[in-house]
Parts: sequence; C-alpha cells; structure tokens
Amino acid sequence: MKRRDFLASSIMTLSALMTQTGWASGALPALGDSSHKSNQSRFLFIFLRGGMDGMHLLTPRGAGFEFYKRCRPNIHIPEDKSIAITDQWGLNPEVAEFLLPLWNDKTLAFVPYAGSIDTSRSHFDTQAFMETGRGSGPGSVQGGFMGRLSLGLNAGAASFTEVPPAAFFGDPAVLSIPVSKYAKEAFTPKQKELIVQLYEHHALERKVEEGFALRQDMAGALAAEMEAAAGGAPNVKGFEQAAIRAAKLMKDKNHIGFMDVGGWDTHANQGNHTGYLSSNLKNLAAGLAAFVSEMGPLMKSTTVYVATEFGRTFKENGSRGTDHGRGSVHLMLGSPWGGTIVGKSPTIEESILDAKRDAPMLNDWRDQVARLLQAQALVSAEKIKQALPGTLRS
Amino acid sequence: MPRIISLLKPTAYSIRKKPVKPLAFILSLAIVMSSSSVIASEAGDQQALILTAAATGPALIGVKPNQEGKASKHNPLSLSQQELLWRKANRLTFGANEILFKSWSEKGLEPWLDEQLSPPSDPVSGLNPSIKEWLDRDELLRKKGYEWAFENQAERVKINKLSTEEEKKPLRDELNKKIEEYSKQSQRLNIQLALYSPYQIRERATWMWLNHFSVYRYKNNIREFEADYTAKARSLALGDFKELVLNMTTDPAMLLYLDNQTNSVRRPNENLARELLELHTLGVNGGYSQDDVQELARVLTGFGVRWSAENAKVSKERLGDYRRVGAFEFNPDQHDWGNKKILGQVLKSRGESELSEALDIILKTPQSAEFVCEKIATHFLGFKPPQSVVDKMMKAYRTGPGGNHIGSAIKTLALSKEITQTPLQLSRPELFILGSLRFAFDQKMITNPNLVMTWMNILGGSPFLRQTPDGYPADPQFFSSAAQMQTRFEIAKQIGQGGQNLFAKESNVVGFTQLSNRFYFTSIDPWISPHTQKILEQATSAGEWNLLLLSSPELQEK
Repeated sequence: MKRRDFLASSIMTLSALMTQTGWASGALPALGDSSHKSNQSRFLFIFLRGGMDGMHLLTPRGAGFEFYKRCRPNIHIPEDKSIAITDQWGLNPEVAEFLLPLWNDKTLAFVPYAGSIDTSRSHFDTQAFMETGRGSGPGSVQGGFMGRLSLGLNAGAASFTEVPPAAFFGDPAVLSIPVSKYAKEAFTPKQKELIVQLYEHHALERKVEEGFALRQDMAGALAAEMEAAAGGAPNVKGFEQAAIRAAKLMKDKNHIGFMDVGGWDTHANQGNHTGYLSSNLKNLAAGLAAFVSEMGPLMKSTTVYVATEFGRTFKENGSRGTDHGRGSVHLMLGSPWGGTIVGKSPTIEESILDAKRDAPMLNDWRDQVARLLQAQALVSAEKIKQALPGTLRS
Repeated sequence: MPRIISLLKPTAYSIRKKPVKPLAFILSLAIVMSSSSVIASEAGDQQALILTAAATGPALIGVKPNQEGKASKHNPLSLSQQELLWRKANRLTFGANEILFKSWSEKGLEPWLDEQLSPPSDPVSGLNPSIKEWLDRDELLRKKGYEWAFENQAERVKINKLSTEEEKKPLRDELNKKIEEYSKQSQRLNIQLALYSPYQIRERATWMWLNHFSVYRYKNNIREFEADYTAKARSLALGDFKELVLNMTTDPAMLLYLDNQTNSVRRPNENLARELLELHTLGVNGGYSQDDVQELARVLTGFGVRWSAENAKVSKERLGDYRRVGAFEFNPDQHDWGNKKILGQVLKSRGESELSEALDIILKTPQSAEFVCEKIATHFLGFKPPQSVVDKMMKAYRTGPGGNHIGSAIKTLALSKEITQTPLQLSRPELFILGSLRFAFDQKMITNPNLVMTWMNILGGSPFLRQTPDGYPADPQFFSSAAQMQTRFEIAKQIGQGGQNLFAKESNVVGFTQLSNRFYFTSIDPWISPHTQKILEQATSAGEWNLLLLSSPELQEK
C-alpha cells in the first residue's frame, strides 16, 4: 500500500468511528471493537538504546559456560557468581535482588537471542528500522508501530520522554510527558485561565485546555512523591524514579506508554559481575521492580516489553568490551509466560554464532510483542497486524 | 550543463533607487484607514505615516479597522493594511519587525523583493557590524568541512594506534568535543542569520532546503559536514533547482546519511536513489517505479566519500574518470557502467555525468515541477497551499532561467494574492520561536543562542536533528499536541520575561523585552481582536502582558 493511501484510509476510519461513537456530543468512549478491554489494559514499551549486551544480563551456565568463558576471558560472569534460573541460564548477580522475585512469582519472562531482522549493526539504522515496526514485507509503512497501535484508541498514549520518538509517529494525539524532569507548574492559575481564554472558540481550544490539565495531573500524580521527599524519604533517582512516575501516570490516564534508556553501548571496559555494565543493569532492574510495585494490583492487566536494538559481539574485543552484534535479551513483564524462557534458546556454541562473532538473532521482537498484545487483548488482532505488519500469521 | 560542485557567481549588488511607490498589492483592495494606526511617534520619524499614506482610499477619522475578530481574518477585503503587512512579512521572512517594515516603506515591496532574490553571495552581508564582529568569534567555521574531516580522521587513526583504553579515551573525548563545538557554531550562525540577516527570503529558503534535503547530524560523522552542507544550501537556495539537487545529492553529508558511500556495482544500495525520487524530486505519487529506483541506484554507484586527501587506488583504464572535490569522490571502479533507463528514457553509460542527465529527465516532468512548487508554497504559505498559487508558480518556475528556477517561483508567490489571502495556521515551531525573538529584540543581538537551540530541539524544527529523511512535517497536527502547546506557552513566558539567558554575560548587551512598544502599536494593535485586547488588559505586569501577547492566536498563527 502506498504511503498516502495508508494514511488516508486510517484517517477515514478514525473519523467514521468518531461520528459513530458520539465524539461530537462530548463523550469520549474507548474506540475499537468491544472484545478488548482497552480501558482496562495497559502496555509499556521500554527501549534500551545503544545495544544492550543481553549475555551480561542473562548469562550462560552449564553446557555453554566453557565456550562463554573462552570467548570472554576478562568480562564473563563466573558460574559461582551468576544466579541459576534454568540449567542453561543465570542472572547477573547485580540484578538478582530485583528480578529473581519477579521471575519466581511468574511476572518476568526472558526472550534470549532476541532482536530485529536488520543486520546493519548501526544504532541509528536499526533503531529507526525497529521504530517503524515494519518487517521484511513489501511496501512502506507510515509512521511508527506505537503510533499505529495507539491511533484512535483514546488510551492516553504517552511517551515518557521529552519528545515523542519515531515509534509514535502517526498518532498526533500522543502526549510527551518527560518523567525525567519534574514539570513544575510554569504558570500561575490566573495566567493559565487567561491563556485558555485566549483560545476560546478557537480550533486549538481543546488542546490548550488538555495541556494545562495534563500539567495539573502530572503535578498531582507526583505530589505524593514530592511530599515524601520533603518528609525525608530516600531520594530515588534516575531510571527508577522515572519508572515509578511512569507507573503512576499509567495507573491514571496513560494506558499506552513508551520509555527509553541509554548508556548501553559498552565498547570498552564493561566489567564482569561488577563494573560499569552490571551497575547499569542493576539500575534497570531496580526500575523494573519499582514499576511493578507501583502498578500494584493493576499489574495483572499490564504488560511491559523491554527491547534493545541489537546485542553485542559474543567474543570480547581488545578493550575489554564488546562491539555491535545481533541477538540480545529482551524482557517481558506481566505476560502469560512469566517464569519461563520464551522463544528459541539453543545452548551457546561456536556453530550458532552469527557471522562467527555474535549471538544469533533467533526471536524477532515483533512476533514477541504481537503475541504479548494478543494474549493481553489490549487491542484487536487487526490492530496488532496494522501496528506490526506480518505478525500473528498462524 | 551545470557541473557538480559549482557555485553561483555573486551578482552585482544594486539597490534600485526609486521613489516610494504605493505598495501595489494594496491598490487592489478597498481599505478602511484607521487613524489609530497613524502614530507619528518621534520627531522626524515618518515611517508609519509613509506606510499608511501610501494606500489609496479615504481616511475615516476615528474609525478602527473591522472589529469582527475572526470574521476579519477570513474576509480579505476587510483585513486592515497593517494586518496584511504583518501576514505577508511572516510568510516571507522569519518574522515581522520594525526594521523590516522600515525597509519596505523605504524601498517599496517589489524592489525589496528583487533585492531579496539576488542577494550578495557573502551570507553575512548586510549584518550590523557589531553582530558581524560577534559572529567572527566562532573561528572553527573558517575551516572547510572536509579539512576538518581529514584532520579528524587522521586524529582517529593516531588514537587507534595507541595501546590502552586509558590513553585512547581522553583523546577520543577531546575529539568528540571539538566536533560537537564545530556543529554548534554552525547552528549558531544559522540562527543568527535567520534573526538578523536582511536577506530574509534566502534564509527562509535555506531552512526550507535543509528540511527538504534533510539529514541527521548524529549518523556517521555528518557533523563534520554540517556547516558546508548549510552553506551550499544557502548559496544555491534561490537559483536553479537542478543545480541545487545535484549539489545536495553529492554532498558528503547526504551520501553518508543515505548510505550511498556503500552503493557500488557489486553491492548496490538503493537508499539514496529512492529518497531522491520520493522525497527530493518527484514525490511518492510522482509516477516512478521500483525499476526507476534500481536504475537510479545504478547511476549513483561510485559517488562516495573519502576521508583523506589521498586518492583511492583506481584501475589504470578508468583513472581519467576518477574525481575528487574535498571529501567527495567519484570512483569509476565502483560505478555500474552500462546503459540505464530512467522514466522510460535511455541513459547512455557515461560515468559521473549520468547523474546530471538523469536529473534532466526527472526534472523535466510536469509532476516534478508541481512537486517542487508545492513544496515551496507549503514552506512559505503553510500546509496544503491552494492549487491556484501552485499553478502560477509552476509557470514562473518553468519560464525562469534554466527552466527550474526557484527564485522566479518565489517571486510569483510573494506577489500573489494568495500570500495574504490563504487562511492562517499554527506557525511551525521555528517560525514561532524565531519570529517572537525578531519581534521582541529586533536588531539587539542574542549573543547566547544556545537557549534558542534548546527550545527548537524540544519543539522540533532544528535542521539536522530530524532522524528520518522526510524532514519535519508541515501539517500542524504534528506540532500542535497539548504538550507542545504547553511548551510554546512556556517559551513565550521565558521570552516575555526578558530572556536574560539569551544574552551572554561578556557581550554587554542587556535584553529587556518591551513588547508594548511603538512597533506593536503601529503594526499589531490596529488589527488584534477585541477579545485578545480584553485579555491583555488583565495582565498585571509587563512580563505577563508579553506572555499573553506571544501566546495569543494572533501571534501564534501565521
């Protein structure tokens, strides 16, 4: 389908639905077919930008360990340090405190050898390719997969970033809520009132009102945090803080979300069970656990997919780090497959390496996300296939 | 046939000395004069009077312009003269301000337009000496991009030869800082020219083409070529479109961004060929096929980038076809020789000049002329320009020198009725930000544009920061989200409160935003809606008044 045709048809569908469901009357019911519970389910996509070394998070044990140790003499995680969760895999000890409970209570699943069909090993190209959500099929797609997913759903789609990512292109209603910055109220109540009045009867009136309401909501959602901080509670920073804020907003109005985290491009001195990368993984794990905790009972109807654009070379490089590879490890929270290893998971050995250097890509992230969304019944299968063309084939 | 990497010869700069004429476009409209728009503010300052006196029609003392707010915007006959000027200024320049209106009243619109369309080649021409002096402090720009690229590459090779990471890391960081500073200096220059250059139409056109031929600075080492890419776009912005395409397509920044440096006869890469057709010359429905993409990719084989002054090793028989200009290289050994077929026409195998010939075939099509003229109209007028003005522009485009003349199309647009009659839309982020700054500070130089860059990075619109090749969209739905509107108001507040961070401490320039000034009363107050007037009256401080004015629909829409 040509770009313009795709866009035209999706806009027409949207406006047809809008008139049917009483948009004009001011009521804003959830759109989409009645078989899903879009006003109950929540989905969060977390993008680890920079090529996270999956092998450092979910590390080989048992049959694959000797080969692993040979390939990474200076940066492997010893078997007596990693925490076994299956015969084949162990957890990095730095993340165990946070992720082991989630594994044990079946909230957390791992997808090893996960990635994209893009072979460029270029951050920019692979990220850009992944964000479009397209597969190997012919024709171009318009916008990004999150945008196609959230378009018309009225699910308060939000990117918890400064600016919406390319993944959210195509849904003009998506909000940017930069949770890493505390958005203090910039205007006095009187100024807000006057600015809203400036747009009385103007086409942008609603957007202007929404914007002020959004700020107010965010301030409200985070007020408890500010109070706690004022009362002497420990100052949680970084990703953990952002994840807690995201959860608060998702519990409230924003049911489809996106976050990203950087700092994974470990070309040098990545360390082993201690050091730079393990430290980063610990922060990530703490944030994921904090998110689950903050969601509370609503975690039952929430799913999270954590992806990265590619993994890294299985063999360490000359700088005690790793270079760009293919397969990495992705994570799922809240899926039906919690407490298991999802997808293909062969023992790591020389013969399966991609280009004789990288852990192979055996589990396409799009198929995983599609299955996850389908199991959750967040949206219809049709919508999933629109967002991620070529998935859910069987 | 224009050669690759040729630059326009500077035309002799001349001001046509004509007496002040009635501005032609006003004659065709019946205007109700408002006495309130005639303010003789200072002794001897007759500028406002010249503008208003130039129009024909009776002066009705004591009558304000059409008071019906929205209705007046949509009924062109009732638009006040001041509103017309305001609208035209915002569409042709980065924003109306006093110095612009002064030059219009001194020269007359059409002579001003002709000057704008044949500017001197030096981009800093016409800038205030104090502004020029401040810009000169950015020394890195004196070097050419490819000189940087060669130096930096040599540095990288040296660093890689070191044995330990401890030795390498600080040098790598240093190099990266240098490259980042070079990029920042280029960005600063671009912003300063948009704010202060008298050659506003060229500056608008430069930003238009940087968006049309959009590249992302953080891919590969494109930051090293950013300044040159910008300078190229600027120097070719108003002339022959073919020369522009040829030069932008073969610039190292574009070749790297769309991976053409890896496009070779043995391993073809279609990325550049596809975008050249889809985004740059014909548009997605322009009537080309996948075969055309493949054939154009064949044409583009061999166009690449080389990071040192040393040439590639080329086979003896092809040595005569090898060519270097700066970091650009045409390597005949990588080229796919043999005939090609583009849009049904045979292209004989000739090497580098095949690209020029392919462009001739493509640009001759009516679809291409329409595509290009619509893009130009969209940039200046806004999303979905009326077909009527695009049609007029196409004729001028074709009859201008070379048959693909950008300046002729722009002139037609500027003199058309559509320039003021098409409905207002929410301004694009960069036009809102830069327009507000031009209004607020006029020629008072913003010596610390880093804050401006931050605003633009957040709201969108910064050249070289768009990750995808399609450039920033013109459709307001993409920059009018609730969150983005909030950000606009916050920026308006910061500008309105004096924007102290805009003025570097060492520059001795103090900025104080006084928007309720003479310019406001002569050029905006006459037509601003009573609704907005009432709200402005409720401001309890100058800063608050400024915030409300800059946030109002009247100032946000262009």
